[in-house]
This record gives sequence, C-alpha cells and structure tokens, in this order.
Amino acid sequence: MSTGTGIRALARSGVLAVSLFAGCSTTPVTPPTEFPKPVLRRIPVSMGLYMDDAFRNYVHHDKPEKGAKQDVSVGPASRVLFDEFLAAQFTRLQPVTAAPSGQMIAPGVEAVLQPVVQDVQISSPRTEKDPFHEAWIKYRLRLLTPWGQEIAAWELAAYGKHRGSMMGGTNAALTAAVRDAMRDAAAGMALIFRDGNALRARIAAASPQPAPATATP
Amino acid sequence: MSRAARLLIVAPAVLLVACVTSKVEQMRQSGRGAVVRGGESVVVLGRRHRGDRETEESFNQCVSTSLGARNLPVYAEKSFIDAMFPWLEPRTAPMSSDALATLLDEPEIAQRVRATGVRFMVWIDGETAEVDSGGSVGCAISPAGGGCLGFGWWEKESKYEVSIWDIENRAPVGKVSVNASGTSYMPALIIPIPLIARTESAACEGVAAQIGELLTPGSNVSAPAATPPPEKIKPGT
Repeated sequence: MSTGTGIRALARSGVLAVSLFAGCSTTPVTPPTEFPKPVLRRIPVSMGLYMDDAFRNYVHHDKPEKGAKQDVSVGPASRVLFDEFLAAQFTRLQPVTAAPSGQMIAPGVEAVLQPVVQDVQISSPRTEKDPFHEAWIKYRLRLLTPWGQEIAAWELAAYGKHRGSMMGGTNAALTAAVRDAMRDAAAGMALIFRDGNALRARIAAASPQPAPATATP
Repeated sequence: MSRAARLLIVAPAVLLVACVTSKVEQMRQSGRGAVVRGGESVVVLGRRHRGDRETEESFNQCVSTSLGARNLPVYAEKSFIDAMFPWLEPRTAPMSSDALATLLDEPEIAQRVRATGVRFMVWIDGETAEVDSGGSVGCAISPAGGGCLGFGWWEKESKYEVSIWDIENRAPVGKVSVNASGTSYMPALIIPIPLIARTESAACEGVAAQIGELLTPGSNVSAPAATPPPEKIKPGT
C-alpha cells in the first residue's frame, strides 16, 4: 500500500476479496426504459417507424481481453427511446411492422424512419486515475420512402459516461453510462430534426412511387 | 499508551485538518447583482461536455445546499435537466449566454423553462484532482496482533469556474472562479491517522459565498422552492 490513496486501495482490496468469494459473476447491464418527456416542436409529417427484431432485441456481448464478460441489453430501452422521442417530434407517428418494400405500407404515411444499432462499446475504469465508466452506441437512422427507397441516413454516435469505482459488486455506474448514451442519442436526433422545413423538403423531393413493372408475355 | 501521549498525537492532527489554501475571484457583468424574486429559483448545473472530466455531483449538491442555506430557492439539477430534455444534455447544452438566448427563441423550450420557475442558471465547470502524492504506509497482521507503520501524503487541487446566467434577461450575471489546494497526510504508528485537507469543501463554500453576493433573495423570498418531479412517460409496451 502506498501514498494517500491508500485508504481507497484498502477499500478496493476488500471489495475485490468479496467479489472473489462471490465468483466474479457479472449481471447483464439493463438500462431503464423510462425517459423524460422531450421538449420538441412537432413537425407536421405523418411518419412511420420501423424497428426490426434485430434492433428491438439487440444485446451487446462484451468480451474484453482481460476481465469478466459483460452483456449489455441495448434493444428494449432503445425501442422505447426512439418510439417516445419520435412520437413527440412528429404530428403523427405510425408503427410499421414490416420492412418498407415495393408496396405501400400504410395509407397516409409520408416517410418511414428505421433506426439500426451498428456498434456498441463499453469501458470500465482500469486504474485509480480513471474515474469513468463509458458507453458508446453507434446508431444509424434511415429515412425511407413508404416504398423502401432511402432518402437520407444519419450516423448517431452516442456517448455516455458516469463516475464509478474500478470494481464492485454492481454495475450501476455502467448502466448509467449506457442510459446517458441513449439520452445523447436523443439529443443528436433533436439536432437532426431541428429544421423541420428542411426535413419536409427532403421528403417532398424524394422520388415518387416507382411504376409497377409490366409483365411481358 | 498514556493519556498525555494520546493527546500529543491527536492534537496536531486536529490542527492540521483544515490546512487548505483557497483563492476565489468574482467578476460581475453589471455594477450590481441580481435579486431573486418570489416564485423564482436558481438551478445549479454541472458541465459534462468534456470527455476526460466532469464536475462531481457531490460538488453541485454542496453548492446547492449552501445556496439553500443562504435562503435562495434552489431547483433540483436532475429535475431541471429532465424537464428540459434533451436540450441540457452534454451535446446540446448552451455553452454561452448567447447560445442560451438562441435556445430560448424556441417557444416550446421557453414555455417549459417558465413552467419550472427557474430564472438563474449556475453552470459549474471543473473538478477536484490529486496532483501529487508520496510516502508509503505498510501494514501487517500476525496472530499476536497487527499494525501499520509509515507516512503517506497526497496533494489535491479543486479548480472550478462558475457562470451565472439570467434566463429572463438572457444575459450573464457574473462569473466566479475558485482554486483550493491542500495536502493531506497519513502518519501511521500502529494505527493510521488520516489528516484530510478538504479542498472540495473549501471550494464549495467559496463559490457559494460569491454566488450569494451576486444573487440575493428578495424580501418576499422566504423558503427554498419545491422542485416537482418532471413529467415522465410510462414505459412502452
């Protein structure tokens, strides 16, 4: 034991001993599915929202070179976040259950948004000088015509961090970091949709429904 | 150990606990401070936009408590951030009073701020860090007993910058900066006796005292305002 950080080192040794006795098990990180009501100016667009099963049930399996494996449940909380945020952002939000393709998905829907989780990374403190648990979630938000043609796509690199000890029996700090990353994604979306007129112009400028292919005898 | 010997060890310890050097500076935007009228409140917010550091929640809480003790109504930080979601997240939070004015141009956002009753935003940027350390303490346990021997020390520095904005006038009220440093010691002769230099606490008191000079409670402000929880959306199905 050395220097003034000795007290903390002593406490961490105790925690380490307890976690060794407990078998070093890690419980999955499951961020809460409750977010504050966003303050947004509604855009007068009837928007569809398509979230496929891969997005809704996304689980990140973290396998660091050193340390315990850690599962992070990203899908359920992301589903609630995008659903509630976009419902507050557009005058009408309609869930779309099937992937937009050649056929009109629902009457009145002007465009469809599809969020995709592209990558998740987590990091926990490894030294006493490093106080933060961190989480990165890379979303891709696709804007599609009701017939499945991509109008635009935005990369949402969301980041969250939360103070927490180097080791411990719970993963509350890492859970808070993942939750903060999701809130950051909401902040990113708020900036993307801040100019509602630009979004409406893009939707209006998108190519119309392709003409059905004529069958040749 | 005799009573006199114990007193000889404990007395210097008590004297050394408060060994902190603190420097506080205040800058006013106008000649005088602002008055917090009845129904208005102050919110203390920590800056979180830097990747490598973040103002400690404990420091914000300390400043909020100290302002409350000065009879200033304080709105809870988390409740305010949630009420303004997502416009006070690290990515979207205004970094200047001009940016705040732009944000408040949005009628929905201005309306939500008015609903909270918050008039003054106190932004705190900084942290407490260990800048140096040395010495060593060794401990041993045997069937006959145990004990520690040695001497350790560490130096901490608390540096914070505070900006106070008036939401109603969309203008800065003033700035406060504090730099508190101190060295803690841990002599160990059988029992380690930590003598802690509480730099964060000294910085907190210095900041709160200066904010208390810039923002004064009006004659009709008597008790801290209640901070209702923000409206939450039920989890989706």
